[in-house]
Amino acid sequence: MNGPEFFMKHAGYSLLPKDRATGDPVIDAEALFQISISLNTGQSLRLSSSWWVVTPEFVATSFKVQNETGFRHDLTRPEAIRIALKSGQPCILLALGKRTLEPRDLFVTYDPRSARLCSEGKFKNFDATQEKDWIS
Amino acid sequence: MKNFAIRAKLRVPIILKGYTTLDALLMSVLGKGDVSELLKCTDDLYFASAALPEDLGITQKASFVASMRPEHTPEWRDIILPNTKTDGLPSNFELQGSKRVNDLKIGLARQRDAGNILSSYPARYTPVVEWHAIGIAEAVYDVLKEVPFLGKRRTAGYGEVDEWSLLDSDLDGIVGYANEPLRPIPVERWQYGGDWIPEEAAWKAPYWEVRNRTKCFVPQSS
Repeated sequence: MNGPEFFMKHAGYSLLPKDRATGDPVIDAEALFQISISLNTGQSLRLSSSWWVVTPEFVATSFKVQNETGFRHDLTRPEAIRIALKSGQPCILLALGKRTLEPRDLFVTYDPRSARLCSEGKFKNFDATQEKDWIS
Repeated sequence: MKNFAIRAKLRVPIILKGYTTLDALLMSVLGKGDVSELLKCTDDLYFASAALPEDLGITQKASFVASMRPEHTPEWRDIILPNTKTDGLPSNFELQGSKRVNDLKIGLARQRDAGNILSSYPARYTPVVEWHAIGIAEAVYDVLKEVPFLGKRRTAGYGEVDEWSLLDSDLDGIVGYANEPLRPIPVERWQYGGDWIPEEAAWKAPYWEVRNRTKCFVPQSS
């Protein structure tokens, strides 16, 4: 499974209006990153300026999406990343600025020894098992 | 078809991004997406390794500035014009009382104002880059022997090849002497065991296509 497929399956299709979905995760991810998404504040915003941790079990984010999505807002970013990587499940770690995200920017992390923090147009690999708090 | 290795002796540091598999290199030189007449290919997977640089552990930062300043290149104004919100007006046009008429404002320094764009890469010092593969060695050599530069930013002089040479090899371009992956290969097609770290990577051409990315074992040195 590639990054756009994983992201759309576990998070993106909860945000993309049903009439915009084509069933092709790459096209749908591209569409999702172009539209404004309704926030729980009543405003709407393009998918940006936030962090995301997407796993098959949960989605944690700082993006203030509406509650119906079921995304978690009770975790800090380090907590969410640690839980996701320690679970042994694949995950996507995203740190977004103001630029528009592209489907090619999404990479799944399969192993904490090569965790990939994705951003717009770039990524950073790190070995999470070498972090000070990994064994705590 | 037989096992072989092809080696590029380098004169200057090289900028390698991604895996630069031998099949991808041949495709780019020949300008086509299928080189199965040169290299063994089974179910879209080429028996051709990624570029394996002899790693000295020495890198230098290579930075490049791309300038879009219309003061220097007036033709950029016409190119940028369709990206502005106000058709027919120059892209740096400002209405009185409003500073945000157009989508794109031309400035002198900031990237968002179409100013200079700085791109930086790590350039490696390495005497040789090598590939292992199964294929028609002489035909591959004939294609590559005239290639003068490799890697990114080769037009700026990086990755200049001094000489190409053909060598015998025991490797098949898929798995190395320590049973390590020599190229991105989907985990379900990996038969050699070992505790290798899986990553999401493109394993077949075209390598830029997101849909060709999946969970793969990849060379750790690239």
